[in-house]
Amino acid sequence: MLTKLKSVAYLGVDCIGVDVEVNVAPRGMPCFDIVGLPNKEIAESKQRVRTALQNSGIVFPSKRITVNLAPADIPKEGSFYDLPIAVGILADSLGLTFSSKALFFGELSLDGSLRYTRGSLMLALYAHDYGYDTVFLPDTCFEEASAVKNVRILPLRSLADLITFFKSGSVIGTPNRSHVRTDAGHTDSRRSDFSSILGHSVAKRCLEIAAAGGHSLLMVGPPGSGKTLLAQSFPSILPPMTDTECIEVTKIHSVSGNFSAGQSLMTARPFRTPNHTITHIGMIGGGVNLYPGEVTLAHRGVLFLDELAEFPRNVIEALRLPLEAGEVTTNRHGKTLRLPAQFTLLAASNLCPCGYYGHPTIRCVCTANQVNLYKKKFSGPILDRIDLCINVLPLKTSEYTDSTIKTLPESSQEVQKRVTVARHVQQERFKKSNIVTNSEMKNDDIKRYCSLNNSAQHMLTQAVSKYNLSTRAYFKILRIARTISDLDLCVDIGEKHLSEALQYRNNPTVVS
Amino acid sequence: MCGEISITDSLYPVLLRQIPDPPKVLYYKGHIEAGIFENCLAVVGSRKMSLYGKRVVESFVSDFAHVGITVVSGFMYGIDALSHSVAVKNGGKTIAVLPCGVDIVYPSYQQDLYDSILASGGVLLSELPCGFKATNWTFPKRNRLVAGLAKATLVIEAGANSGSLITARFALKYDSKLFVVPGDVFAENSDGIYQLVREGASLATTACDIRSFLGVQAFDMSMDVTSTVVGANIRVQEVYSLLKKQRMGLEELVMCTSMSFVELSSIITQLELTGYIVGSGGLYYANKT
Repeated sequence: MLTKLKSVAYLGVDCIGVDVEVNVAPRGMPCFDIVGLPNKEIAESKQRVRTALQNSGIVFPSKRITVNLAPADIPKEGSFYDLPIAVGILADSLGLTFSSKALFFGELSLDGSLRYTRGSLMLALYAHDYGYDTVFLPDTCFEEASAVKNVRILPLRSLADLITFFKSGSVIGTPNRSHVRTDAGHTDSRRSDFSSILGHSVAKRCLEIAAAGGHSLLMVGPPGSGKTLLAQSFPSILPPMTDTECIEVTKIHSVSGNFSAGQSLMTARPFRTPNHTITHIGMIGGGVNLYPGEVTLAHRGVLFLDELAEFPRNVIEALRLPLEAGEVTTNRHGKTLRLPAQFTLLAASNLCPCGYYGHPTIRCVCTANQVNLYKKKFSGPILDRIDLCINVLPLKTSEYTDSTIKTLPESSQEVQKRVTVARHVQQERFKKSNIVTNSEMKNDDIKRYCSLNNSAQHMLTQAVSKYNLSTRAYFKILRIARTISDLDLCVDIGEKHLSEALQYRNNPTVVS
Repeated sequence: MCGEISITDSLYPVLLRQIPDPPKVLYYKGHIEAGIFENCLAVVGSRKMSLYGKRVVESFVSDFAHVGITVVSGFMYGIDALSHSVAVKNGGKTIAVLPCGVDIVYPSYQQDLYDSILASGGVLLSELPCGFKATNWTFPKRNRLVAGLAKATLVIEAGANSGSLITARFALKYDSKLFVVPGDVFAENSDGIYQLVREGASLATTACDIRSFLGVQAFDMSMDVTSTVVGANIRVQEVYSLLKKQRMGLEELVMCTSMSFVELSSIITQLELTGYIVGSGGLYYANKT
């Protein structure tokens, strides 16, 4: 008997429909074959399905079983084909019938129970978009998949549950939707709050602007000046994600396997801190079916590159296009695939190999040539794409030992409130266009939305000639000034907003 | 391509002829007019220039350029290159003594400076023929010419093993005057300076010290820090007076003034745009002139 089931194959952070055809032929030499470019984990599915069925009290048919995953020319990967294959065999041996509007998803354990399987949200979204009404999946995936509305999600603990369901039609106990908050996108578990960081008011202000307008930020300074600590406090001031952003981000992390059982929608923005030994495939994404890289995992969140100068050049240069376009475009199996990569770049670096160049007291032991070579690691095109650049200098001892300072610095929550308001202002402004933050404004948008009052216009003209600003720098300053005035809730950009923006113009190569 | 002056030529620098081992032939590029070697001052220093060194060069060398002192240096990045470029910018004459043939730009990324020296009527000089590449022994050889050409040598910032010390010691050996600009005693760029002081260098704290030694009249230019900012409010004056005392970053200014960061940054930009202060690497200082 031939049974056709529907399933999907992941391709990047999207999926395409796949037919799982299970033919159980009564004639011929008994065997169990899977065709249609399965990878190793799907090929091994044979052993799991056979044993799981046997351990669920079902006699495995001694017939010629052929499974075809169509279309045959697209490589398939993932362990979730276990369940549809098992259902196809059950359809033959138990005579089960099911709606063609149902999708089956899940990895089998040898005892017949279903294990947590990555990518359930993607499947549920696919079901929603392509008119499937029911999705059968492991109960541990329920929280994740139930973020999708208008699709019946049926959680299963084991194959036995499935058989009971088809025989009696009774729905297995639905777990409560608890919506466990998840930080699946965070690779850095150490967090800090703004209130725990003394001094550094300039750097904190820059982080606030970066969070409000989605601007990329580079911090340079000697070791121990607090760059990493400041960066770790960045997630605490980021505005919460909108519902669509939550789904978008959760989908990526669900398919990349950053989730664990029982987690639901991600509500915190991702904060990715890849080590500098990362390859450019790890950064951009790659593999047969295009596995998302760090830039995609940081979508709608932050990509923090600590020790930027230590990253291989090709990895940093590979960031150029994603920073500009907000996505990675590549090709797999004759299809153009797009991975979203709309992230805020946060980078920190020393200015020389020994690190102490620019330190007020400790001597740098590098030669002038070594310092020059080190600075060359920040290439022009990358610096061009970084909106804000600041020097972070270590605090003077008096600044953190002075017991007369009683007031604690502002907490992250306060800053986050301002940031969120500024984001709302931007949302209103860009309602009709497809951009979200000020950092995404192109030159046309800047002309339209960044109106300066007369005195500010005069100041900008003065600054352009005084500092010899390039066109790109000119627009960069306007973008930042726009965010600063949004934080100030002003419609027009005033002199004070512009003068502040001018302080962050990018010049990391000049340091005392 | 390049010109030659032999030691017997009348254009050959007089002072250089007096050193123990003058080059038989000088190769040059640019225009050598009579008198260009007459009032030469060697300005040398660290390759790893600090913000302080930069300020000294900008202040001193622009003064020298205005009074017509020819600045001689070694074309290396850091203090040397800045001395050339400040002299050129202020309309002065400058002589770059290269450690290689004069047709070679070394370091090559200083092509712009090379061109601007030529365009400003300056001279590129070397004892090595065209096409000769710089190598370890050509640098100290070159330094002897820098010291030998000048009536006095000024060292701005030098570490303990700086090449500038070689130039300075040649100057002492040739009995020409050696000036050093004192620096922060803790800074590595001061180690060499204080060694030279012990060996008999004179301290120079203003461009005037050197000018009067060379017997050149001061160029009428207000070179002092103005006391107040014209037409600005009391808060701007407060920030300016703090920066006159010492260079500071925004962070310190926030601590010292009880002003908010936002207000301060707007004042800083205002002062920077009007030229009262100069900022570099997150630090600001009051500008001269």
